[in-house]
Order: sequence, then C-alpha cells, then structure tokens
Amino acid sequence: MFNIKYLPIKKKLSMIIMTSALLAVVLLSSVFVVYEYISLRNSIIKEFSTTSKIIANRSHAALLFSDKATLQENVDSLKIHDDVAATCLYNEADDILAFFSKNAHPETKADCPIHPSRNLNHFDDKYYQISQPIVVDGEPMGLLYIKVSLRSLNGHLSTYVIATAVFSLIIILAVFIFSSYLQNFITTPLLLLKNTARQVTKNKDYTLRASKESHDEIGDMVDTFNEMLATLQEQNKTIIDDAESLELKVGERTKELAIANQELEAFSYSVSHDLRSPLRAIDGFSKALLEDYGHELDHSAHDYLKRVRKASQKMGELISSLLQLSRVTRKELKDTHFDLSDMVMTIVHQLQEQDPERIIDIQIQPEMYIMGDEQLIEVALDNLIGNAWKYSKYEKFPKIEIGYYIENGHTIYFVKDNGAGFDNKYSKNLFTAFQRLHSPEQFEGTGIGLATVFRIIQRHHGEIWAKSVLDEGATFYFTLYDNRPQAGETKSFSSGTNPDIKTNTGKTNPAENNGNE
Amino acid sequence: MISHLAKSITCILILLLTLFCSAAFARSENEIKVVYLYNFIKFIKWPQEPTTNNITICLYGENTFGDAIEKLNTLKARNRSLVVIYPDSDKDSIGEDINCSVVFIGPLEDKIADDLLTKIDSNPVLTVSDIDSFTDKGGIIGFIKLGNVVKFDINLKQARSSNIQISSKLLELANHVIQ
Repeated sequence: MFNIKYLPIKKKLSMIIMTSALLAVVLLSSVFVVYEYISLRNSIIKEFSTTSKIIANRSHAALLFSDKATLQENVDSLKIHDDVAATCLYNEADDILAFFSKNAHPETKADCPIHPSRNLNHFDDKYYQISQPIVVDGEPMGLLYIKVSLRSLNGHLSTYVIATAVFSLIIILAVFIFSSYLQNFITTPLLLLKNTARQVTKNKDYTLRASKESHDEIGDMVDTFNEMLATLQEQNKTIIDDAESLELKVGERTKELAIANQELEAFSYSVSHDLRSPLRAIDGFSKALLEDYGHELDHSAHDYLKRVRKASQKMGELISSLLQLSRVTRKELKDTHFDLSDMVMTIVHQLQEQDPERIIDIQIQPEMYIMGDEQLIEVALDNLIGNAWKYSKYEKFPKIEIGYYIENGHTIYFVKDNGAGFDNKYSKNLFTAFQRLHSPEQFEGTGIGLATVFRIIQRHHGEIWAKSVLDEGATFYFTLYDNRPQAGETKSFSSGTNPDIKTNTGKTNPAENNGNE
Repeated sequence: MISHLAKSITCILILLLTLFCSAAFARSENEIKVVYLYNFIKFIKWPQEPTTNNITICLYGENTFGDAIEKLNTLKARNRSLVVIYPDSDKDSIGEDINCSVVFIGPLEDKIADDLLTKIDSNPVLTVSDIDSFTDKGGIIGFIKLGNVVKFDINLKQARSSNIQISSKLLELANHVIQ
C-alpha cells in the first residue's frame, strides 16, 4: 500500500509544493474561466437587450401603420450581426409580421416560436433567446424576438479554457523546476547530515564532521550533531586509551604470572625430586645406621637417630602437602555426578582403619548427590573430616556430623565436630597456608590442609567458611557452584538439618545422646 | 326534399358567416383613416403641451368617417384624452376661435379649404385631409391611395413653420415628404 510516510523528504517536499501549486493554479484558472463566461454572457445580455430595445422603438410607427416593408427593414438590420440566428417581429396576436432566419430553410419560419414568451431571457447550450415587447404609448403593440447563436461565445470560451490550461501547465512546469532547484536548500544539508551519520555508524569513525550548509534549524542540527560527535570521539578515545593501558597491564600481569607459574613449577619439581631424594637418603641411611650398627650405639644415639628419622619423615609429609596444594591449583577440573555420602563413608572407614581404637559418633546424611571433580572433592573432604577426627581426639564423646541444608535456594554442606574448636576472631586466617591456631605438640599438622580445601572449593566456584566456639567444636560450611546466603538476608526458606539450630537448642544434647547409647 | 332543404340551410348559414366575418375583420378605408389619424397624434409633438388638456380634433366639412370617428372620443394619446368637435363649416364663421390641435378637413369646396389653411397659417395645428395634393396646398399630412393601400404624404416644411415636430419614425413611413 502506498504510504506517504515512507517517501523520502525530497519527494514529500515536491508533493507539498506541487499539490499547493496545482490547487492554486486550478482554482485561479477556474475563477478566471467562470468569470470570463459570466462576463461574456452578461455582455451578450446587455448588447441584445439594448439592440432589441432600439429595434423595438424604431418599429413603433411601422407597427402602428402595419408597414411590413419597414418592419422587415428593421428586422433585417440585425442580419449584419454574425451571431444573430433569427429575428422575428410579432403583433399582439402573435402573427409574424417580419422575420429573418439564417437557417437553411428560411421560409419555414422554424426559428420563430409560435407563441413566444413576453419576457424571454434564456440561455441554453447553443442559443440565447430574448424577447422585447413593443409598447407604444403604454399600450403593448407587439413583440420582438431575437435568437442569438452562442457558437462564437462557446468558441471563445473554449479557446480561453485551452489557453488557461496551457498557461497553467507552463506555470506548473516552472514551479516544478524552481521547486526542484530550491528544495535543495533544505534537502542537501539534510542528506549530507544523513550520509555523515551513516558513515560514522558504519565505520565507527568519530573524527568525521558534517559540513554546515545553512544557518537555519538544520544548521543548528548539524552543529549539535558535530558537538555530539566530538563528545563521542573524546569518550571513545578515553575508553580506547583505558582499554589499551588495561590490556597492557593485563599483559604484564599475565607475563609475570606465567613467570611465577614457571618458577612455581620449577620449584615443585625441585621440591619433589631434588628435595625428596636427599630426605630419603637421610631417612634411609638413618634407618640403615640403626639396623646395621644399632647394637654398637647407645641409648641416646638411638634416640637422636629416631628423631632425625621422624623429622625427615615430617618434612616429607610437608613436601607432599605442598605438592598436593600446587597440584590442586593446576589440575584440570573434571565434573561428574556422584554420591558424596559414599565418599564420606569411605573416608571415615579409612580413618577408622588407621586409628582403630577411637570410638567416634559419626552421623552422615545419606544420598548427598553432588556435582564436582571427584578427586579434588575427595582431597577436600579428606582434609575436613581428617581435621574433625584430629581435633576431637581429646573429647570424651567425640562426635562428627556431615550433612547439608538448604537456605533461600542455596545448598550448604557442612562438617561439624565437637572438638577443640577455635577462636572465631581468627576464622579468617584459617584458610591461609602455614597459619596454625594450635601448637604442633597439641595437634600435629602441616598448616596446608585448609589452604588446599579453600583452593578446591574456590575452583568449584563455591564458598567456604567456618564457625566455632573455643573448646566446643567447629563447623565448616561450603557450597559448590553457589554463593553462601547474604548476611542480612531474611531466611524465607530453609530445609534440611541446619547444624546451627541444633547447637542452639542445647549443648548437652550430644552428651545425653551418647549417654543413652 | 329534406336533404335539399338542409343543403340550402347550410348554404345560407355559410353565406351569413362569411358576410359576418368580412364585416368584422376587413376594415373599411375610412376606419383605416381614423386609426391612422389616431396614430399620427402619437408621433406629433406640439409646442407648449399642457398635459391636462385634451387634444381637440376639429372636423371640418362633411363627415366621411361616419360613426368610426366617435371612437376617438373614448381613446387617449400620450395620456391626453381625445375630443372630437364639429365646428361650423359656414363661410363666415370658419376658422374663428381656432382652439384645435388637429384639424381634419373633409370633402369641402376648394376655396373654403384654402381659406381655412390660410387662417391656420403657421399656428401649431396639425392639418390632415384626404383632399388631393393637400400637402402641396399647405396642409401637413395628406392621405393618398396607392392601389388598395392607404398611404400618406407629409409636408415637413409646413410642419416646421407651424412649430410642429413630426417623429422621424412617421416620416420614415410617409410616401412622400416635402422638405
């Protein structure tokens, strides 16, 4: 469908101008033609009313004296007028006294009406008819009837119409040419602006400027547009500069990181190979010394050698932990779906085997299916459950609980013990390597375990945190591919066994439970 | 018998009808002259014409018009009533106290007619007559007969000297105009 909205502005302008011009010309021509027609008619009416009056007046005497020759003479005087088709003169009884007709058969008197109207003044397509009563001395004596052909009037009028049409066409053409030229004053700056805008959009080149062609509203628009471009250019430059410097910085950091990584790897390598073999040598030769020359050595030498062996073994463990930490950091994640409860059970079983005389109340939430890297999660749980195992060793009724709960859509796993616990103000240092809250005499350890756990959870895009009351136990919470609930968040939904609520209900509960057992 | 009678009755009826028609439509010469006389007045202008006055038509000599002339008494010309009077046509009293606007001279002795014209002389009186060559004798309008058609001559010279204006329309129709 034709829609004016989709026309280019140039065509719209043309349409507006041409429509207005056409309307004006047509109206003006119509007025002229109508005026011409009316004035022509009026002039005919005027001319023939005068003429008929003159002829009627001249015919007074001839009519009174029935002088047909004179009447005929009077009537014939109108013959010289080209437009008069017929003239007839009647007496009061409507008898034709004199007439002439320019028709082919003048004798038939066809052009003379039999009973003409007394005050005829009538136009039709071809003829104008007028009748003029002849009144002598206040007494009607007869009637003069004139029939005027309108052929010449119509001819004149049609010539006039044609001339007007031709002139109108010329005017319209002139208007079209002029407007086509003049509308460039509006469209050219607009087109330039449009093209510039398009180029800017296409090439993202903000250095372009639209040229100002006029000093009107469009000129103002061009100015505003250019100012806008300048602002854009400036901002773009800032952004690009920032991005460049940022990229440069990132590049530098990446390089540094790569170097550091390389160094770390080199260090790991040297630790695993270069440090371990001398350690093994120390431990091995100490052992050999004890076995081969043990009988020659005294008691304190034995004791020293045992200490050397113990220290070297501890150092080996430390190196293993460090290697594990670095492995955990670099290992490729392989996510699978597996049962966490199974894994926990296996770990507890292993710990029980290593430490068969300990009796610990262990509660494991069944069917905890999670998504994660099985190996890494096992390392993490190894550490967490191992810690719980380790820090509850001085407890009379040790208890470890592993489970999960859901709060506001976040699934939170926890490992809870009723062991030594720690002071809450140090909870932030927990996950830093080599930061220990207890003395090695009390609880042995490398100080790397929780750092490793932290790394593993971090690599699973989760969070880990801990809560504790000194001497009353500690709870470690972690999430996987999930955030922990915000501190200020109102708990709109929760399910599962939240360990916090349990501890709040009463500290004596575990003791009672154990007592019942 | 009956058919014969009917035939003759029809014949008589047709004859009567024809006679009646001819009497009704064919105007006699005298009637035409009376109408002409009336029409003349319409194209004549006298000096000092009071609108209230009647136009007096004086008829001298023998009345050849018969009753037709009496019709003029009922007519008006230019809003003035026409009055026809018959002054004495005696030798002595002729032309005395002439107050006529129009004088029609009927068939009279030539001498009396001449006297009358002499008396009227250049007074503003329209003189009309059907005397032969009346205009040559000093009359203003004289009827003539060309074949069966009644026409008239006009002595414009005499009319001018009498201060009577004759419309050109009338002059146009005259058979002969003496200037």
